[in-house]
Parts: sequence; structure tokens; C-alpha cells
Amino acid sequence: MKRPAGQRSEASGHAAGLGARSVTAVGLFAGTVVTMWRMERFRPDYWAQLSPWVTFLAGGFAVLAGTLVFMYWRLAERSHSYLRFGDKLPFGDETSLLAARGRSLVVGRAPFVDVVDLPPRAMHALYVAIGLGVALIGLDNRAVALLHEVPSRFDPSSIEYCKPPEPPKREAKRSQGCKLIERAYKLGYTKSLGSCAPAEAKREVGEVCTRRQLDEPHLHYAWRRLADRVDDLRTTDAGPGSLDRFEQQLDHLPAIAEATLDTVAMRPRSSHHVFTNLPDPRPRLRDRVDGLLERGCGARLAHLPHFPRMEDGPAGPSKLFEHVLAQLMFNPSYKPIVAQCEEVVVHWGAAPDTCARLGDRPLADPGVLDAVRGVLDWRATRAETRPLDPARAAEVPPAQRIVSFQCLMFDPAAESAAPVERTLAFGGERFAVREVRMPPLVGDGGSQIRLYKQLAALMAPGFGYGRLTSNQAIAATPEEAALAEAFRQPAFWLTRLDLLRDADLFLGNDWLARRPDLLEVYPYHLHLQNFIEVFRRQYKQHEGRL
Amino acid sequence: MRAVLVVLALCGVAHAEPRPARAAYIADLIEAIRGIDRAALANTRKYLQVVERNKCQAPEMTLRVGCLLEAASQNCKSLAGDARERCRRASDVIATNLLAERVFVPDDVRYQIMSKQRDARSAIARELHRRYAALVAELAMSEFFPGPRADTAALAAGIDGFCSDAAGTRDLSWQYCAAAIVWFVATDGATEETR
Repeated sequence: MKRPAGQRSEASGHAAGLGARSVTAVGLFAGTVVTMWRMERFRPDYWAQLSPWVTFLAGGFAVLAGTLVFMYWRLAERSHSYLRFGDKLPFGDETSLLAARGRSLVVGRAPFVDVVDLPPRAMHALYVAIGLGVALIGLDNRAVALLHEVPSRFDPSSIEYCKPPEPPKREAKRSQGCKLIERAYKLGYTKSLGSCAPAEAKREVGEVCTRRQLDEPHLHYAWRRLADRVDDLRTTDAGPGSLDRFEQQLDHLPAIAEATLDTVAMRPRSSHHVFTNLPDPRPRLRDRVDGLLERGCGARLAHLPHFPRMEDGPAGPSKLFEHVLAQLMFNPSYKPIVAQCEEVVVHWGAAPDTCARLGDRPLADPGVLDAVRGVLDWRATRAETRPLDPARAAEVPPAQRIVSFQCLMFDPAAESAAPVERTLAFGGERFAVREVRMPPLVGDGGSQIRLYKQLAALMAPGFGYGRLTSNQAIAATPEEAALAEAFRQPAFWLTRLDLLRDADLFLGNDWLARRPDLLEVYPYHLHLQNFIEVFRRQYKQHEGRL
Repeated sequence: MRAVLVVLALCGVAHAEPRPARAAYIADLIEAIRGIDRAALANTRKYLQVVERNKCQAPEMTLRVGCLLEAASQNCKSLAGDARERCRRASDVIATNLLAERVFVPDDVRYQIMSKQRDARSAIARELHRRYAALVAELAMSEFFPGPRADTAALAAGIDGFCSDAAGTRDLSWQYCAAAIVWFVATDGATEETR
């Protein structure tokens, strides 16, 4: 840290403050480092795959930008303003920013306060480092490849010209008779060739080429494009003209702006709530923050294990519940895609009678209320703006398709039963509240299968899975006992494992639950994928997104 | 002695620790293919291929598997002692690979090959070999690979771990993965032409 000579605070008793320029530089540097870390720019494998061009360009940019900023913002000079902790001076131009325990963070500019700044070289280095960080955040292999393509994009040879008109094709074949007439014509015995005269090929009347003509000057082509655009604006195919439409849009400007903001902010397009009495599997603050910061979980969920073992400990059932829900609703490996992660909210640790209370009393939970209101408001906005462009705007789904409430409660006394349905009134609409109870989850595979079935039945009304929808063969399926017996013989074990494709766990085959050796090599992908895809087709019939 | 242990493991105590039992079985498969006479291995493979393409053609997988199992046991029945056991193990790998052909070379790739290549069967075999090689390369790059100097038991444990992981996250059955790697490793990556 550099301090101007003759202004030593210790000696003179003056107050000292950190220079605003230094604080800004350090703050920007820290922000850049954090952003780089969040964007995984410090991972060794990222650097391993990075093209040398990226580092070269980033380095060049950093030196240039850092030096320019350093020079033109005159960062080599001492800061006029400073920040310091302490009591606000009774005299001087100071403002208190934060105050705690009698001390406050003060920003100000006073000539008698020592301002401590970083040395100019350090400032320069910091800004070069910031420039390097910004460049590494913005530049990657793809960006460099795109930059590399820029010259070819502006290459005149890439402009599409109209093809030159093809010369008329002449008939190549001549009959023997025509050859005689031609000979007579040449000798002067006849004055015309008659039907043997070479006929020009019929020109096909095609569409008028509106691209640039080969001999068309740039300016003329540009003017013609502009005139076409203006014509397009004035006259449209059907419906009102562009100006009329613009007037209509002006009348609904707030709604349009709101709808655009909702789209740009990628707000949830539906609000489905699942209440369960299982505890929160991630009660720690850090896990919650990570969950909030995560944008789009598709890439992570695409690599979920097919059938994980339930973890030991109290969070095990909750994590299994989360996994099954993610597989059913979000895993993008299965089609069709029916929901995004933030659109289905799990309310952990809910009271066992939550669904009964939802049916009886008005919705009161502020978290649920906000989410539901947000989606319903967006729906109302969409309904308002849809008539402005009915051709392109999608149908607005009913409120019951985009908002739903479900409860899956674990109760040792529960018996397998169909979901109980209730209704909830909110905002002038009636929503279904569905509840299922099932025995607590245990570590065997059968428990996970039951969870899949119950959750599927809860989320998609009318869902059913049977022999007709299973991948298991209908005609030649061996009896369960025979299948179980086949695996008692050790010979040809690998080949025998193929028989498991006709033992769909979702259809029973409880004997498999007693064979962990077979469950470890069970072809889950065959039956699980089918189960999830059958579920999603059914789900899509009842629930949806904006 | 080892064979007896594997049989016991797979028969009765499979519930206790499936993983070591599977690894021991894979090690035995590798040893069996390595130990079998080249000509006998080629004959067994040819026989099972012919049976699978003709007699065992069935729309239901269960029927195809049953038929192949029957054909393979009949083929090895005439042999005695260790030779029979080796024949059964090699047949197990060959039969599984035959059943897995449609997974490794899906119908669309098969049609492409058939429309472009005159000798489609050899081209499909080459493609299959290429896919086995890719799988083995994946194993070699994975955390499960015990190293190039590892013994058969360690390699078998690595194959089991790798295939369990692949079967748990990808659309590939454990036995297809294991059989493909076992075949490639035990035959030292030899193609059908050079075998």
C-alpha cells in the first residue's frame, strides 16, 4: 500500500481511509474471480480442452483493455474519495453507509484524511487481471470459432445472386424425314423448314427472383430490400395491417411487456405442488442456495442412475422420493418432456392432513400463494395478448392444467388405494387436490417400484400400467416360478439374464425382490423407460404448461 | 476348485455378495475363451451363429433365448470334463453377443450397411468389432480399469464394475456389456477375418 509522503496518519494523528479506486479495483477483481469460479473456468479439464487461440486473444484483450482503463481513468493517481471504518467526522464531506455496534462504514472526501491506495503497478496489474477474467468468461472455443467465421460471412461470394437465365434448349434429335427437308432447304428447294424448324424449348414460368441480380449495384439492391420491407409493413396477408396491429398492441402495452418479461426471466410456466411428510433431504443453507442458483437441471438429470439404492439415514427416503419424481417428471432422456424442475415444488415435512386442510380452508401458505398467483397472472396476461396475434399465439390452457396440488403421505397403517380427490377454490377457479397414502419406504427394490407407481397415479389421473403397455412379451412370457427356477442353474448365466426382459418389475415379479444378485444386473432401462413414457403421455393429457 | 466356488456362489449364496461372484464368473469366462482351442472356438461360434439365424429365429426373446440355450448345451454335451465346461462358458459369451447384436448395431445402421456394402455380413461384423473396441477403450479410460498388467481376476472385477455403472446409467444391459468386453479381451481384439 502506498501512502503519500508527509501524511503518515500515525505521526500526525489523522484518520486514514482506503482509496475508492483501490477498493473498486479489488471489488471488481473479486467479482471476476467469483464469476469465473461459478462458470467453472478454473476446472483443469476446461483448460485442457481450451484452444490456444482463446488464451492468446484473452491475453491480448486483457493487456489492451486493462492498460486503456488504467490510463484513461487515471488510476495511477491517488483517489479523491475514501472508505473507512469509524465514527463519522463532525466536519468534512462524509456519508455513513453501514453502521453496526457504534462503528460505521463511511465514504467521503476530506483533505486531512490519509488515503491509502495500491501502488500504480499493482493497480495496472489488477485491471489487466480483471480484463483477462472478463475475456475468459466471454471467450471460449465456440466464440473463437465464430470470430474465425466472420470474414467469410461478409465475403461477397456468400451473397445469394439470382441465377442467370438458362439459354433455351434446342432439340437435339432429328428424325430422318427432317434431315431430308433440311437438306432441301439448304439446296434452296424449299423456303421454310416447316415443322422441322428447330423449336425453342418452352420456357418454364417460374417465380420472379427477388435476390440480387448479377449486375445490380449494392445501393439499388439495398433500396429494393428496404422498399420490400416497407411494403410488407403496410400490407399483410390476412387480418389487420401492421399499423393497426401496432395501435392495438399499444393499448395492451403493459400486458405485452409483462408477458415478455415473464418469458425472458424464464418464470415457471406451471405451478404443481407436492406435499409429503418426509423430511427435507437438504436442510443445510448451502444446499438451499445451490438449489436456488441452479438454472435448468436438465443436463444434471439426464445422467441419473436408473435404480439407485436407498441411502441409509433419515434423508434416504426423501432423496429416493426426489429421484423418482425427477425421473418421472424432469429427466430429459425420456420423452415427451412435460415439466421443468422449478414448476413442481415439493413441500417437505408437511402435516399428514395437509390435503384435507387444503380442501377445507383457503390457501394460506405464502410460498404456494405467490407461485400459484404468478402462474395464474401470466395466464391472464397471455389470454389478454392472444387476440393480438391469434395465428401465432398458442392456446391458453385452463387454469386446472397449470396448477395442481398433490399429497403423498407415508403412513405405516396405509394400504394400497386409489388417490382421494378433493377440490380447492382459489381466484375464482376450482383446483383438484389429490392424496395418496403408502407405507414408509424401505431399502428393498420393491419399495422403489411402489413409489414409482403411487407417484405416477398421483400425478397423472387415470394412469394405468399393465401387460398391454409393458415391454414384457405378452404371448410367450414364462411363468414367474419357471423364470425364478431358470436362474437357480448356474450354467449360461449371461444368456439367461436376457430372460429378465420378460420380467417387468412394474407388473409384479416379486420373486426378483428376493434376488439382489439379479436386481443388480436387471435391465431397468427397458422397463423404466417404458413406464415413464407411458406415464408422461397420460400426464400430458391432464396437466400442462403455459 | 475355482469353478466349484463360482457354481456355489451363483447357485446358493448369490444373495450374500453378488459382486465377487459375478467377477469370478467373468474371470472364468475370460480364461475359458483363452484356454479353448482356436478351431473349436470358431466352430462353436459358427454353429451358434447358424442356429441363431435359422432355427432360433422367433419374434419373442424368451423363445430365442431358450432355443439358443438348448442348442449351446447340446453342442457342448459331447465333450467331457474341463473341455465341456470351457465350451459352455465360451458358448455363453457367444450366445449373449449374438443376442446383443441388434443393440450394438441397431436396425438403422444395419440397413445403411446393407444398402452400401456388397458383403453386408462382414461389414456388420466389422462394425460390431468397432463398437466392442470402443467399449473396451471406455473401460480402459474409466476408473474401473485395474491397469494393463493386472491379472484376470482384477480385470474381471473391473469389467463388472464398469458394466454395472454402464447398465445403471445407459441403455445397455449388463450382460451385453460384459460379454462384449470379455470376447474382445479374451480374443485379444482379433477381428473375425484374422481369427
